[in-house]
Amino acid sequence: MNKLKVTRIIISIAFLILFILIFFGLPFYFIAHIQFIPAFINVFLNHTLIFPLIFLLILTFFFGRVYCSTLCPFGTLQDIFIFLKYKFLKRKSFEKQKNYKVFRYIFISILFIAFFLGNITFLSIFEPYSNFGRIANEIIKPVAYFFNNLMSDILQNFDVYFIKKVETHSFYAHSFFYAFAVLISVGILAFFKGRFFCNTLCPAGAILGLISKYSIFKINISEKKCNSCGLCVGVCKAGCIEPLSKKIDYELCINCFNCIDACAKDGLKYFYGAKDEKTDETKRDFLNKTITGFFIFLLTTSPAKLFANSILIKKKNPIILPPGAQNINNFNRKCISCHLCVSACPTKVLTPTTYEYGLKNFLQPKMNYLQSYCLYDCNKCSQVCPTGAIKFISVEEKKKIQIGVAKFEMKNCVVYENETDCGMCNEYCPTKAVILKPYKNGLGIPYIREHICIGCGACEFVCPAKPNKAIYVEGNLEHKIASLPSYGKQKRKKGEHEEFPF
Amino acid sequence: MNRRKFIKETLKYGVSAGIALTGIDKLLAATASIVDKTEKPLLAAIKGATPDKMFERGIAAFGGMTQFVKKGQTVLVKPNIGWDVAPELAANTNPKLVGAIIKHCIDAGAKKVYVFDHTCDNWERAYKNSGIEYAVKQAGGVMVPGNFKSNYQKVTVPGGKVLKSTEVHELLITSDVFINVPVLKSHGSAQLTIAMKNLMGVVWDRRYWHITDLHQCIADFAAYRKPDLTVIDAYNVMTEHGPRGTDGSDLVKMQSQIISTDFVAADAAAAKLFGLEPSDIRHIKIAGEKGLGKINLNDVNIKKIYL
Repeated sequence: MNKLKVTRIIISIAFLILFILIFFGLPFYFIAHIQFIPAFINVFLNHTLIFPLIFLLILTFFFGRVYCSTLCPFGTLQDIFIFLKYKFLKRKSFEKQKNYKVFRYIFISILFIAFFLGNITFLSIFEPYSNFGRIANEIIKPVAYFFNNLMSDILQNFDVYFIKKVETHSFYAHSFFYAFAVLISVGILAFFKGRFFCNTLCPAGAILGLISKYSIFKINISEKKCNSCGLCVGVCKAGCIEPLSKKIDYELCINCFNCIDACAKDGLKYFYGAKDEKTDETKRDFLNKTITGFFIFLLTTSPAKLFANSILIKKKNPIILPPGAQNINNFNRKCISCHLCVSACPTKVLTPTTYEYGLKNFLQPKMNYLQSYCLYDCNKCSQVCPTGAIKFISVEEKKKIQIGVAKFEMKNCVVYENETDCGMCNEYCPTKAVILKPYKNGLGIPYIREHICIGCGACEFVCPAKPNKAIYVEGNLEHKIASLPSYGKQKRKKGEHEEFPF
Repeated sequence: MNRRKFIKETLKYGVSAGIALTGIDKLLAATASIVDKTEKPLLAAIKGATPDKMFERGIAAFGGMTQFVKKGQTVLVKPNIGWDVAPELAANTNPKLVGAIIKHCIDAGAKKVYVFDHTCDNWERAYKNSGIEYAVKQAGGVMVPGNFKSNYQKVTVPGGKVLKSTEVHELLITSDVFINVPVLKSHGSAQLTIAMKNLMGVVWDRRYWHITDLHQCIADFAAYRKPDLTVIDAYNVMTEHGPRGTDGSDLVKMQSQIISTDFVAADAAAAKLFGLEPSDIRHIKIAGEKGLGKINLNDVNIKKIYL
């Protein structure tokens, strides 16, 4: 193997492992931030963190689409399938693939136009990073946790507590099957068509392809050495080599460097400078793109707007945004459903939705207080979010952000119904927004001081009332600021210096 | 599942057979001798030093930890680690105290000292941020998770009026010695949480208790396995907004500790220390009526130690 290919494999595997590890809590979130689409969203919607995008663009301009062959976890995932193909399939070689230029650019334009109009759904469906994120969170992580807990259980029987048991989040069928379907389809595609996804459907691949066309370092075929034998085509997973004309389609080439080894004549080299393409072809292409793009813009304007306003919210079971999301529009606009926050959340209160945000925001996470509640001293989701859908907030800020308000339904309450003590909501309430007011027979009944409630959902989660909770959180579609609770001066200093009262 | 159960059962019977063969008769003799000497359960109330120092002096009044822990025995230490808050806020048992108890157990020859709690907040964060995980590891104990249902087994509660059966952590069943280390603090629904209330952290389904008469359940469960020793941390006492507490403005630095072999008596003394009458706390009153311990402190042999 040539050095370039070895380097490519090492870097890609390292990034894949690191990437999976951030879903297990490794705090290397920059790996998510340098993914193309998150970087893109950061620049165009958050107007912050320009460097990752510039870095990726410059990287591609110099070295071609190395992003696709090393930094992109979804790409490496496909490479694993391709590796399996080489291992287990008899008919191993790939074929030259068509460059579906027109389809690709029309398709990508739709994604981006919809994105700029406020609809991120299409982008997040085809965007590689979040697809991999969902696979990591829904498939890789549970499987790993299952084996960890199995080992832990076995060892515990022998009185060894060395392996820590971990809590897995509940199983969300829709989210799992979505990720599973993506995994299977991309696997099949990779198996038979190589990097077909990257060169046809992937928005990041399309944009980087536009730049890599003009990149400084490229793989070149030596006119003299090449005898058009086609050995290189068989190993090219991007299907970008045209052996008869001895040309490479640099839009499609992802710089995997497989071809360099395959050539019996040593006729492929990765070096500085490349042959010019015919100019009028690009011109025509450019014109094509602009015109189709314009029509698509016209076509998509109205539906996209229509989508943006349709927030399906049931009054009884409202959406509660994670702290830092600011408001529902910001969240819906920027969240690509990568589930990194779902994965990072220590209490697993963030869970994937089905249609609560509207169908277009399928799988976006929400605060699910039937599962868990939001910890008072935790801002993890805002630390990890790579697109700013959950904006970073400090723990101190977070303690004041009101994402919802607790409401009390006395008729469901244990104290009202059974006339015995309960007060679980008051126990768990971190701000003491829920207090127990004197009720009959010396009992205390919950009362909510709404102005200091932050909507963390601890009360709703712990409320033991069945089948319906007596206390629940009504979500705010826009964060509000809760008043800081004042606990008053200490009423007593009794006991500090006294003798024992018995 | 069957294999696991088999291993568990084998271990359980193996351990109990081991105890029966080695030390249980001596242990019974030792505890009996304490009770015999005074006829009254012993209660030490210590004041005026750090939790670890107070414990050192207090346990000496009982003749040292060797009175409770024999060589080769396993010990379960059950502090209150309910909340993901810092040690200064006293929502959890003081980590220094937990560490000191473990050290005494190990010095007495304990084979293993386990510590766990079925936490309210996220267990990993609560273990870590309470400072208890660190203290346990430093002292040589084993931190065991308490938030997995697979560790809980169904048991019947003898004489339970409301709570007839519940699922308890397997270590409560298998450990030779059980040391209860609650923290004294106010409690929204139970008025006070001390020793008996602390045992809610060894059961799986607490919501059931809340739905079906909390105080009666607490008193009922107290009959299941009485701790061999109870050490109440009253160093910083949360006088309001318990059990989670708020910003610490409601703490009173009482610098006290109560150690007893009778955990109902310990609860009664701690309630008095807090400024309430034991009979005002319903679950303490019920436990007294059931004869699970003394709530009249005149029936208790109290040793006060001021440092």
